[in-house]
Amino acid sequence: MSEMAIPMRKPAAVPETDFTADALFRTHQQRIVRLCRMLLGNPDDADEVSQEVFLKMLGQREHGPEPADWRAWLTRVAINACHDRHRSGWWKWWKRDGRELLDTDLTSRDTVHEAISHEQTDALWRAFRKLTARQQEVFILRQVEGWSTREVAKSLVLSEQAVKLQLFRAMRRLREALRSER
Amino acid sequence: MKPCLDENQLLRLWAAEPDEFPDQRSHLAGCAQCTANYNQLSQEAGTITDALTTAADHLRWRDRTAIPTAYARIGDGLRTAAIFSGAVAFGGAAAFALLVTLGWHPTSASPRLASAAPDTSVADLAAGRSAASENMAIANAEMGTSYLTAGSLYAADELTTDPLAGLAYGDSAQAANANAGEDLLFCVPDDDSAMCSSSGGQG
Repeated sequence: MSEMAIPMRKPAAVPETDFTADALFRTHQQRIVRLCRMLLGNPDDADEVSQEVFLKMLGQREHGPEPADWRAWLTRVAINACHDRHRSGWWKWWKRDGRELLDTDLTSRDTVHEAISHEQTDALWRAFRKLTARQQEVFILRQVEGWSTREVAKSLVLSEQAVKLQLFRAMRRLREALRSER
Repeated sequence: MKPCLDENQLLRLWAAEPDEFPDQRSHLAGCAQCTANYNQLSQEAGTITDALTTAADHLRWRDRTAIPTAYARIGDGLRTAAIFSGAVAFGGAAAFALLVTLGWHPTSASPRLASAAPDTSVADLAAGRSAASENMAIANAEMGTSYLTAGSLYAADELTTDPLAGLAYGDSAQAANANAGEDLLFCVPDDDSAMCSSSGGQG
């Protein structure tokens, strides 16, 4: 594991000053799409949901009060939208016929993925898809978005202890998946 | 010196806030082995996070080529059968529920009602002078609250005030016409016009 000296991903610390709709879209679009893909596991759904999120952003800018933190607002709206999509997505079982996911196309690997094989990535992705929705959300907000335990707890309406427990369980399963492919 | 931390303890430390578990953190600070394990855990966490985010960025559909064709076809067939049999069952249940709600009964349940003369007036029926009134009285007695004849449907709310109540139980024409002022409808079976007429007009 000595070659795995990879810093944990943290959100950009640069404060946002441009809050026009176009700037917000350019700044957050990739992040929101990624978040939706991780939560939904489906690129088509993720694209649709992310568009819904930015439509809501436009509505919020026109009619609602301006959020203090657009980044957190967009993240929360995206998570809620993914929740809604999960509830209404039972018929995707039918629609999905003939295709499967997990093609992560890592031919254009960067330095990060020299430390991890394609099989390990697939195993990690499968393990992540098997986590509970709550564990996925906690993992994404804490690890990918870099939120604090308190922020995650407040956003997901959980206790801080529950957030830590969900993160503990999620990481334990992901580590098991990573090690199983070694 | 406390014993070294196992993997779960290290993971709990990693997930906790920096000010939690002070005893274990003090051990961690003084133990080279635990520190190395903790650093490895942190590196793995970073690797996992980066791998998952990159995988999400590159996620796309592909044809299901890895699955044997026979299994895929069986799966497709089962999926199709499940969807369509479910749809048919649901449709049948909905249609049956609709019929029951509208008050449908099998035609064989009211043969006597169907034989009532089409030109029989309410007064005649009320006085019990026609065979049709007898048939209807018998049928009503047998069928309880059902006032339906073959091919005729009444809305449920219209049956709550029954214009034929008096004659059905052998009362007088006055009883039958007690509700004549109301605009109630009833149908005469086998009538060519097959139209419902006002009880006031027939009373």
